[in-house]
Amino acid sequence: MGKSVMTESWSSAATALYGACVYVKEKLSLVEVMGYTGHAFRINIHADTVDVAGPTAYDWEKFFTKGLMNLGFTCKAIRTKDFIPPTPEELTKAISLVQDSIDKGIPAVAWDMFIPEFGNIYGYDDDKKVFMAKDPKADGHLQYEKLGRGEIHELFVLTIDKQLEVTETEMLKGALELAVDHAYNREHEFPNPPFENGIKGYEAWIHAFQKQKVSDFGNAYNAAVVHDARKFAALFFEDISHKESINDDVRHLAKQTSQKYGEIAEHLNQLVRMFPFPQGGNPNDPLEAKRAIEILYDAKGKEEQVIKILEEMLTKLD
Amino acid sequence: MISGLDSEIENEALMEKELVERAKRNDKDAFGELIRRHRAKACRWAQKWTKDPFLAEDIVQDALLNAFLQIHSLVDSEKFNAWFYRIVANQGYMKLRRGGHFGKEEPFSSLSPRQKQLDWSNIDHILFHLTKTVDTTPSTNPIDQVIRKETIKGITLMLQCLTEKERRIFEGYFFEQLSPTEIANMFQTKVSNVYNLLSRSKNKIRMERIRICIGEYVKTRKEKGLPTKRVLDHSKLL
Repeated sequence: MGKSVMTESWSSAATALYGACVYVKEKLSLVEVMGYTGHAFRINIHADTVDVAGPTAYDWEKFFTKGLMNLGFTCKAIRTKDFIPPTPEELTKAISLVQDSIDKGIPAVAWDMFIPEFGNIYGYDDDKKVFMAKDPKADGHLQYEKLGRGEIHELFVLTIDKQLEVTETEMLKGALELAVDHAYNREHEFPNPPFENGIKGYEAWIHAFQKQKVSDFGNAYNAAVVHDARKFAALFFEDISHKESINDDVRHLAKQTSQKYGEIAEHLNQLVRMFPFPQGGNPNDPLEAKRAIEILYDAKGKEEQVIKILEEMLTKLD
Repeated sequence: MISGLDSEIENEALMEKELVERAKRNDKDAFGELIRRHRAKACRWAQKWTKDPFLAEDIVQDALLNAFLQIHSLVDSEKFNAWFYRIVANQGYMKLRRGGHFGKEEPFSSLSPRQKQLDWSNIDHILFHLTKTVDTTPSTNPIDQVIRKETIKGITLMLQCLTEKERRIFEGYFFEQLSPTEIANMFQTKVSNVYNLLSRSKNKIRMERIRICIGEYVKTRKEKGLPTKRVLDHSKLL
């Protein structure tokens, strides 16, 4: 049984991490990157408005570092504070980090180049002072001085550093820990902005619909991202269920997990159809909101069940 | 002969039309060339009209700045001449309305702090007023006094022979030397306005610093013998 093949995801962070990792481990799939880096299990909702920033508002360095460890990589990163563009020193450090990585044959990961999403830098030209870069919006030249001065004006650059030896069991354990931690523990340092992740993310989403203050654009984007993520989660565990290096108990649970995530994805797909991106439909229409709340309760119930299975799987891995 | 001259004039007209079209697309070289062609003529014209060579030069300077701002509003490229002279004329009217007839010694006298219609975003005006402030409210430290005066004088002179890009660097430099209160006192305007002005200028100079820093970084890399260009096969990227 081969690996599931997917060629795109709404989680640009995972796509960009794939864009770096695959230059070292050629056989890696996007499904594996989504799973092992934890992006298949993410949900992060702004409790008032379901703001469009939700899917990318978290501690990237921390989350990416853990995720890359699961794939057997250490990384280096430079980030400025939210909405703060880099000083000349920070910028030249970042340029140097990117160039070192490209000189080693590995593209770098960067944020907000042509659009506030993640992408890859795969080339540079000192004479023209430009990078060659690709993100979900464009593939082209990016002036050195524009790095960290895109739409948001903040800098984030990450590069793959060293490779680590990891077994498939260790990789899976790391992914499960990331998923369970994300489901139960709030990953934000401050109460504001009111982002909620994991199970509480579903609750925040439901509350936002109840208050009828939902951003149509933000809601549509969040729905698309979470729906896409759960489709990947289903494929990830389907692939795990066929791995010979994993014990039978865990493979059996992985099969159940895959099915559950598939069902969650189906629920969320109803949201995606009701609130298509980017127009977003009418999330604050009382009838639409009522239906959306029912769907989210269904998805939340299944998500709670699936996290229990993940916890069980963790005990069987030891 | 006559037909040759005619075709030369025709060529000139065609070239000018093309320059205007390019200038409208923000081509600064084309704009510079247009200005060079028209500047001398415009100066003579303004001088005749104002009977004051200093004022004439001043009017044209301002007209050039305004021209830059308004280049996009040019609808008919063939009307560049008419348009340019109209700006010159408007600038002249404005100056006369503000200050009436003024002597060669004080071409900026229309911009005394009492005047409410001050163009405080114009660095030439700021410089002029600052020069006056340095003279009327001398610093207790005579060396500081001289340095400040010389700095201002130096900037004023340099500004006249700088490209727009170079001028931006010096504008930033200038605004960093002066406190918002000093400038606010000069113009008797709200400090918040000055802060906005400073913030804009600081952004400009910040970007210039970044460019300089990148330039140095790239140079150092070259000196170390590191590669100057590398592009990975990006077919594996999704």
